[in-house]
Amino acid sequence: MSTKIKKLLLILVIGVIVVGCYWFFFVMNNPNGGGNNTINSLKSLFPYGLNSNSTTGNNIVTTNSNSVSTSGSGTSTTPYDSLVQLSQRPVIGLTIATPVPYTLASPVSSTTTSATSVTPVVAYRSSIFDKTNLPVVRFAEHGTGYIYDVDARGQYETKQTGTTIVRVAQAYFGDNGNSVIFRYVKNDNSTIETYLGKIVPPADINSGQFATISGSFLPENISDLVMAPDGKSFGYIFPVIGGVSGLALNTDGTNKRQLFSSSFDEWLLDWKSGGLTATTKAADGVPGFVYLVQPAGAFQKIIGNVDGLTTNISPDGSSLLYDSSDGDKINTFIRHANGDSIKLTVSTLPEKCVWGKSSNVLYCAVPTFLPASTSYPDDWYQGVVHFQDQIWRVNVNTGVAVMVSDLDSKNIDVVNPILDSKENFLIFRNQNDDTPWSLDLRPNVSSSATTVPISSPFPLLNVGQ
Amino acid sequence: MKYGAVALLLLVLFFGVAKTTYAITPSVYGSMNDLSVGVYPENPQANQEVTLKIQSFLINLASADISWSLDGKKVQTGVGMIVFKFTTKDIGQSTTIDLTVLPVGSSPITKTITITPSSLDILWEAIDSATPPFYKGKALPTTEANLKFVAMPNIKNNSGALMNKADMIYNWTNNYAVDQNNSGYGKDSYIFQMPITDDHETVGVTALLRGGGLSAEGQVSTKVFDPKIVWYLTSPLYGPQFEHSIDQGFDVTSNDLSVFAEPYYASPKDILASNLSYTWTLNNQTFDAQTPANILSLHRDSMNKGDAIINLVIENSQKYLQELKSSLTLHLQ
Repeated sequence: MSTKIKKLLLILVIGVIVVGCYWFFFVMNNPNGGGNNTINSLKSLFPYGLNSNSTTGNNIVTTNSNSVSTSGSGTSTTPYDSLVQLSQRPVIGLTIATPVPYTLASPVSSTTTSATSVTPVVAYRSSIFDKTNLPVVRFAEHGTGYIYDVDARGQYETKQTGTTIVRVAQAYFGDNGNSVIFRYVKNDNSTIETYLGKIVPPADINSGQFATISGSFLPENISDLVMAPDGKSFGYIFPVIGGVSGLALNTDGTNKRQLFSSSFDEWLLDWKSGGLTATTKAADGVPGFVYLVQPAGAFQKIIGNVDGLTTNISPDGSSLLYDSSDGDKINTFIRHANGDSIKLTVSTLPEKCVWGKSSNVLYCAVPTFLPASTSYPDDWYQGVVHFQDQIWRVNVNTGVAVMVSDLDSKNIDVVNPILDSKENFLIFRNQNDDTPWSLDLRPNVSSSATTVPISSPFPLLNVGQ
Repeated sequence: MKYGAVALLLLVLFFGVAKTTYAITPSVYGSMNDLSVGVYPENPQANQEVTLKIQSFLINLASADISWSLDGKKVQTGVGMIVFKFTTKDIGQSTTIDLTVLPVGSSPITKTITITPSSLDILWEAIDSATPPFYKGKALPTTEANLKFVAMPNIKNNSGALMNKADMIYNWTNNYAVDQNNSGYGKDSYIFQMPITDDHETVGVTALLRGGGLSAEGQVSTKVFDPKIVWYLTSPLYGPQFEHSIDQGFDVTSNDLSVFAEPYYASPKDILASNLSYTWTLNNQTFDAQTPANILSLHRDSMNKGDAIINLVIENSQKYLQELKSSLTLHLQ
């Protein structure tokens, strides 16, 4: 082979590498660009730790902020889809997080210029919130227990912890996402372990280390667990001789106190600002009951004798969303404080709904159809049937529902729905594949709503935002 | 009498619920001097129409002047007005009825009746029926299941305070027969085993506040359900994936997989108990017992395509009527 040919080949190889690198970094990494689907397909082949938006082994998002938008004006021209899949990872629990602000060793100072003065402002890097000004969704990955943060548009996914907890099946977050409770079944496939941990950020975010989880195990076989509305404590049901005890504990592991005791074991708890409720576990055709647990531990009945009863109480405790099932039919109601019940114009299970903070609005995932010859909620709880849902907004006073989104007719079975503090985003998990999703509820939003100015990759914000 | 009992049982089964009832002062019952007052229905609930009816074998009520007052307000008077109807208030709120009977040529008889509606729910649970960890549904009873019934009295005093359920005397009945051994002070729960010959049972309880006064009673009917096997995948990373059943079959693309058989509602609760036997067949060939018994780990020797059919039979050596059968089809891709 002549030297000339060798040189040509070398130039060709270098050219291919350069073009490949350009394509990889400037097309694939652009979340608003056309390469997004390609990324997704690659992720599915490498579901663990090879997300191109993050650096493995490092909790600092490495995506170049300049790659956020390819247009010079800072706006994207791609159609805006209000529904996005936040991650391809299977998740076991999620929350809207307010991560502890990362204060740089040398805080970033910037200046705001006006005609007469220059005011120094200290900027904090609060993880990916700084990049997007969007709510941050924190979730735990099924099987590994790794915790990730992602913005509500799914643009930046960042691995936060590297502590592996295999077989982990449930995660509850408290303290705005800074505490976590992991639940898993031991290898005997029957004993439930519950671990309460605090997520401790690394002392130096430039160290490239993950946050750590520091905590301790709670007693085995806690049958149900619910976070308190302030997120600073949680309630759980623990078996004792002759029945169960309902206990509460702060997320820092202190202030253990008894909520109630009961000879009956099969309770499901719901804890809102308006009070703590205990509902009997449901089965098709079996009457269920729901009680308000009074501060002294007494049970005050709200409603009862409702077949297949499942419930979801409003934040202020004034209304109760509940359903009754009859074989393959579900009827959904709201019971108000005056005792009146109104039937919703849609049929769904209350746990597929989330109340607005003011208790005057309700968002529900509603199955497009209910498979026949099934028993609800039993078959759904057993994973025998799955739904394809739409999102509806319910008028709490009239029960009339209006469809908000058909979820692009995707095969999505909504569980764990939550709203961000401004109620702009509905975040949920798709039980069909356990992935996290986000629906932008804002009317008339466009792609510019989430555009990040290229010139200001770290918007200024206050501590704790 | 027999037919009446059967009709009552059918009514209870038809509605299939724990019946809420009432609390009532003892003064309502029995004879009041020469009068007795019947209360219909016998167990009035909150906000329910109640009928009171005077009876006497000594007084000619048909000619007597009778007046009825409701909470101090006279609402009904007349000769021979032996029937009075009113509606009870909410739970814990008393209604006082003053009754005056003036027989011809005799002194008036006055009596006061106080009715305070309460309620009592009976919750039940199958305490040895198997369900998987984290299962949000109810464990259902099967033949010979052990059931626990728990009384939830809703008795309030006039100030609306809920009475302490621990400070009550409970009298339990099983199929209308009093079970004295399991009744008594503070005994708010009752456990018994469904008989092998019956698939329905009726349990009742009366809760009486210690010291007398307020009481409530309830009744519930239960039935047995069929146990069933539901199939899942399990793996060292995820464990059993109880949210995703593979009952409808599963496409196998890997070399190894493990299937997990969950015997819902089987008894005992410990699905690996020694009295449960698991018999597996793969394409009609029986093979050795698995460890653990409800998990079948499979390895694919070749990449040939086709279906593999797994059959499982679970039997309880101590409960002969309990047998679970199921099959699962694996589609080798």
